[in-house]
Formats: sequence, structure tokens, C-alpha cells
Amino acid sequence: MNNKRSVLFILVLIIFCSHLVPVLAESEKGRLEIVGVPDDVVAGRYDPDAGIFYADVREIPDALIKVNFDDVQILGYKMEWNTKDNYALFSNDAKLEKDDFELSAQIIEYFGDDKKLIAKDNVLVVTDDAKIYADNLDYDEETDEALFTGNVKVIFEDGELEGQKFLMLLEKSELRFYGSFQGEFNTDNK
Amino acid sequence: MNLTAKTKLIIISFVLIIVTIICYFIYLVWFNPPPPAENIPPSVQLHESRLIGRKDGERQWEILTNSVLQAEGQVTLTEMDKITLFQEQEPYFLVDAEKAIWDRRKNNLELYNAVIVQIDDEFKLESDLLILNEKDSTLTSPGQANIDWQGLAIVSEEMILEMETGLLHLKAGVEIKDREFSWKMSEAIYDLDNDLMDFYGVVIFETEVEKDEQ
Repeated sequence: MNNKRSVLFILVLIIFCSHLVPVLAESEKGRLEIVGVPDDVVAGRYDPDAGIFYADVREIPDALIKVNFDDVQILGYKMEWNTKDNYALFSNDAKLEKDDFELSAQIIEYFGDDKKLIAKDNVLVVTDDAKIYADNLDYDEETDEALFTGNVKVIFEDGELEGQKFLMLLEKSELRFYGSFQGEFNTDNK
Repeated sequence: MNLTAKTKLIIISFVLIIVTIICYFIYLVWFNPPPPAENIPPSVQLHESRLIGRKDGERQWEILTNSVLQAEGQVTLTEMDKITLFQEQEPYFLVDAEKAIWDRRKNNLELYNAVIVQIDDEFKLESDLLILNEKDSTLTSPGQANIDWQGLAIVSEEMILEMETGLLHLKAGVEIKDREFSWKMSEAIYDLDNDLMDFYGVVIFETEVEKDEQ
């Protein structure tokens, strides 16, 4: 990778990080809505003693679970929320949206007490400038670190990078690549 | 004194009239019950009574009251000391109510401005009108019901409690507050025995605590 491309890559990831941090940091005040459920159909089940709310609207046409934290929105069709442990699990094509980026995965978990977010299976982060694919994304709010693992692929408008593991130290704006990374860029029009 | 026959006849007639009038008044006072007051149907009123409602021989409710008025198949209870609702023959709820009307034909017990408290537990129910139907063992609040249950504050525009199954049907305008969380939905069924709630229709959940407040 030449210096010009490395700088571009780092800039793109910093842009992504600048969006991700506030999303995760503000996730303790919010509103959950389950929409599109007819009045005679069960939308969710709550166990007050355990403090666990469970909803599965996959079989209900036009139904959707929406969670809003200020300007962040999580959309999904199946969720479990332990209100006592401050743990939320979204499964089956969950999406997290904020302004100009989107995180989607089969599973998105948020551990409020530990201040961690985990996305699993078919992780995709889309920004205005790039798409990042990975098997897993682990974000630690305390250390401000985001770890992409498993078949990591970053696609830019004119190229892509592939590897198995890389860590973003968001506060320090550092990127650490583990193992080998392969990159290909189209330099024809530069 | 010499009286003419005509004078004697007049005196005797006068005495007879007086006696007849006196007899009539004696009859009115002694042999005729006083007529019912206007607009009040024939009734029986008892004081310091205990009423017990049973279903299939099992005691369903018991009321100690200072005033019982029965009229046209309805028993109206006021100045009540103690109301106990039973489940499987054991006292289950204690009730404080301003007035109760027992419809003997429908076997309904209506409780006005009632507060129901579960014995040895944390269940409290308040409503302007509660109807205890013994046929299907339900307790219905046709208007707003306020419920406190194990730390939950529940408000519902209508409520039906199935006593035998322990299912609490919350109908229309349901709001549940649990710690700093608030749930809103159109309808919910709360399985009190298993402590599980099913939410129906559109559900809204809101937290009231911001991160900085924790």
C-alpha cells in the first residue's frame, strides 16, 4: 500500500469512528416502539421479576421493532432486553442507523453495564465513503476500542483491503492490523 | 231532665258518630301498618349484619356491615366494617369500599370507590367501581383501574381479573411503570401466578433516566 492510499484509508476509518463513538456513548436513554402489530396480536412478553422483555415480530406482516437513542435508531424483528442487567440482544437482520452510517448484522448485542457492543455474523458498516465487512465487531466503550475480526474487508470507491483482524483505537485515532492484509486499489484516474 | 224524642235521637246519633270516628282512628293506628314512604319501594333493613356469598357451597365473599337494605332483589350495603374475598375457601383479598350492591338475581357484587388489597402480598387495586361476578369468578373494573403489584404501577382504562386462572386482562390505555421504565400499550394480559405479561398491539417503552443521572 502506498502512502497516499494509507492516509486515505485511515481518514475513512476515522470518519467512521467519529460516528460510532457518540452512538454507543449515548445509549442509556431511549424509547422502544413495536409498530405495525394488530391489537389482537401479541407483540412482546415481559417478565417483571426477571426484568426481561422479549419480542419477536418476524411472523407479523409490517411489524417492526424500533429503538431510538436521540438520533440513533436500531431496527430489528427479534429482541431480548434484560432491563436489570442493561443488556439488549437484537437478532435476525438488525440494523443500527445514525446520520450517514449504518451498521447491520445478524446479531447486535449491547452490554450496558460493561459498556460493550458486539455485532456478529455478516457485519456490515456503511459510511458515505466506505463499506466494512467482518464476521464480528466488538466495541468497548470504556477503552474506546473497536475490534473487527473474521474476514474483514474494507471497500472504498476505488479499492479494497482484506484481512482477518484489526483494531481501532478510537481515542488515539490508531489502527492496528494483525496478521496479513491484502489491498488492491485502482489508480488509473489518479 | 225531660228530653224530647227528637233531642234523644240527635244525642244518640252524635255519640255514635264520635264512637265511629274513634274506632276508625284506632283501626288506622293499631291494625294498619304505616304506608311506604313515597318513592321508596318495599324493603327490609337490617343493622350490624354479616353477609356471606357462596358458590357451589364454597364461601366467595363475606361482608360485615352496619347497614343492609334489601329492595327489589338488590341488597345495598353501607357503613361496612370488613369485606373479605375468598379463594379456595381461604381469605384472599381484603376490600375497603364506600358502598356495595349485591344483585341477588345476577349474583353480582358491585363495590363502589373500592380499594382491594391482597392478603400477605403486594397487590393493591383501586377503582371507582368493581364488579365481582360469581358465575364466572371475575372481578371487573369497567372504568379506570390503578394497580400496584410487586413494584409495578399499572393504570388501565378497563380491567378484568379472572380469579380462577389468575389472569389480569388490562384493556385500553394501558400504562405500566417499572422502576425508571414506562410501558404503554393498547392491551396486556398479566399472568399473576407465573408473573408474565403479554403485550398486545403497538408497544412503546421509554426510559426516564439519562446516563448522567445514574
